[in-house]
Amino acid sequence: MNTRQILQALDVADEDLLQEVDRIRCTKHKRSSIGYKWLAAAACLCVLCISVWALANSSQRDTPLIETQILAPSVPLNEEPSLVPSASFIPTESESVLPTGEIMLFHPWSPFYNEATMALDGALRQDLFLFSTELTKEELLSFTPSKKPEWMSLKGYGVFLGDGTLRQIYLTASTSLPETSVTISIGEQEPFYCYVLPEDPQTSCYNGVEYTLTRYTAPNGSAELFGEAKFNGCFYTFSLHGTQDTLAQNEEDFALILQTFAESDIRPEDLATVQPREIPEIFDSPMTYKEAVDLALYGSYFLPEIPAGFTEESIRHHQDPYTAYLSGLWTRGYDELHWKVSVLAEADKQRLVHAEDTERYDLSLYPIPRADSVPKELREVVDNPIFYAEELSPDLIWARAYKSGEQGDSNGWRMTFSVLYGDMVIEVRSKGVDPDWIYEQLVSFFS
Amino acid sequence: MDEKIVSLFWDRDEEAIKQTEQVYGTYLQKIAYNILSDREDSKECVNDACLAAWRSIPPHRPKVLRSYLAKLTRQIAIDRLRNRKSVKRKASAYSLSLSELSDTFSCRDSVEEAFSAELLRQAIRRFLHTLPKETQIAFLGRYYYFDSLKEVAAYCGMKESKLKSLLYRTRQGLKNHLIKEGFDL
Repeated sequence: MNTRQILQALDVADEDLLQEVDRIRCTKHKRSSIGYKWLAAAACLCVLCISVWALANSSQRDTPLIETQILAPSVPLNEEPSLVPSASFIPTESESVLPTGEIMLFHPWSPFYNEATMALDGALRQDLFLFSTELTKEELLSFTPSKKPEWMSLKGYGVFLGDGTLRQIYLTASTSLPETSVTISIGEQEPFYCYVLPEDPQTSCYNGVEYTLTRYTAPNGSAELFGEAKFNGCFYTFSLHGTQDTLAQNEEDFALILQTFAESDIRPEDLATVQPREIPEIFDSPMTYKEAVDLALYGSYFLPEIPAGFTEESIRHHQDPYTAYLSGLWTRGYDELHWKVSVLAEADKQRLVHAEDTERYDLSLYPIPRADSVPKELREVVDNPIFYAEELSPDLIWARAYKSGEQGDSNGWRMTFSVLYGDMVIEVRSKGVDPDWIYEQLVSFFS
Repeated sequence: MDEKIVSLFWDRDEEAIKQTEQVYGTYLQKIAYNILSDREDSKECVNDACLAAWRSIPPHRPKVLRSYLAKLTRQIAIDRLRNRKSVKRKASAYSLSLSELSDTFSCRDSVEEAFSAELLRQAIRRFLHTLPKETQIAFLGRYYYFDSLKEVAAYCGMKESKLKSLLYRTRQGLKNHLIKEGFDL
């Protein structure tokens, strides 16, 4: 055996595991080392994955640079506003040097995904290593600029490592448009981004400060603005999710918010004053089968019997600020059985189904590809419905069974569904396990 | 999105390749670059991966196209690196990962022992499942995606020194696991 064979053998890692690793990489990944100077070291800002094409070098650029005028604010600041000279030209394709001076440029960029979505809170919630707490009024005041537009109000929270060390502050700033806000991160270290940039990003100068500003407009009509800069020793990122209809106003508000924070006196010492009120218990502990079955709250609903020929891969008791569960994985070649026990969460309730609600769980109603056949509003529940334990029947279980045509994988029945016993939920994901056998396990809790 | 593009492959619609490049091109290029450390080679690698996808879908019908493409790209890039005639190889992340593993496992590049590749794959799969999540992420980030130590340390939220220790212990653990499973190392 040689080391190359070991590296190549990693191809066999669970799809789910590889996807999770990829998601965490993507959520918190530093910028690619391809042509890059910048090195990131802080927590993730969002799950946007974009690529910024070298405006100077790429021959595929469709849209020329468009300068944005920074207008005098239409709503007065607390003090006298400063006027910014307007830009007056649009550079041609052949120009490779961006103008610097008293103008702010928004550069168009292409996304890594066709539909960029912001899920800041979602990304943080799913992260094993971080937790967040809302800032107190006093803490928020430290990050509120003394001069700001009248329409700008702030909310914020701190993101901490598991040991209580602050990683970043996140603020949500309202804009002049009620439905639009700007998300701002402030940290002592350069932040992570969920995108890979093949070339050095383009920057522009404004009031002596170097900014990177980018704009993305999606085919569905949404528009993203993104900016980053360093003020007074703190690294900032700014992001806004708007629409193409409101883009002009969005850019005006965005630029004003940047200016507001550029002129504030927020310093790294302010970050040090933010403390978590409580450090949650976060763990992911391996267990033996006996320990799992004896575990309070969860053990009573753990898998009663191991399927014949299957080997235990792992049993883990997991807890973080957002979720807690006991889970086990058993395998036989490419066949698998995942069994996960957790307390019913508020978000789970929308997946509860009754036996008569066949359109919410019966896979025979939805031919593959299910992305096309399942109505959008039913996708989440059809993917993993939660049955009531007292309504279980073999027909219900078999309604979840299907076979996949994937070569090189298990030929057996596949199922994903959950069952509610009082407040406890058992989630079953299986490949190559007899559905009747799974049914017997699930009803054994009644005897 | 994945299912739509896979359906295009099944319909033999060349729009599938265009959309694959558009949606996943940069992501795949990063995977290839981690191995090859050369931009042009990485781009060609991504083109080859798209072609490999075109040739294999159908009959394959991957549930997660992104992972499927990542696997193809990774394999093509590794093969391309091995076939490079140039003696000088840049210290790519792949090469560095290889040398780390070589410190733990005997590097018998020139002598291929007869063994079951499938048994090795299953043994490694079982080993991965025994690891805590943090370790799984670090190990696969380093040795599957070939991210640099700095990158892996950053998204795992730990210092590089701690990551190096973690990876070292994990490599030792893998070695012991494979020995226990009957592999001769």
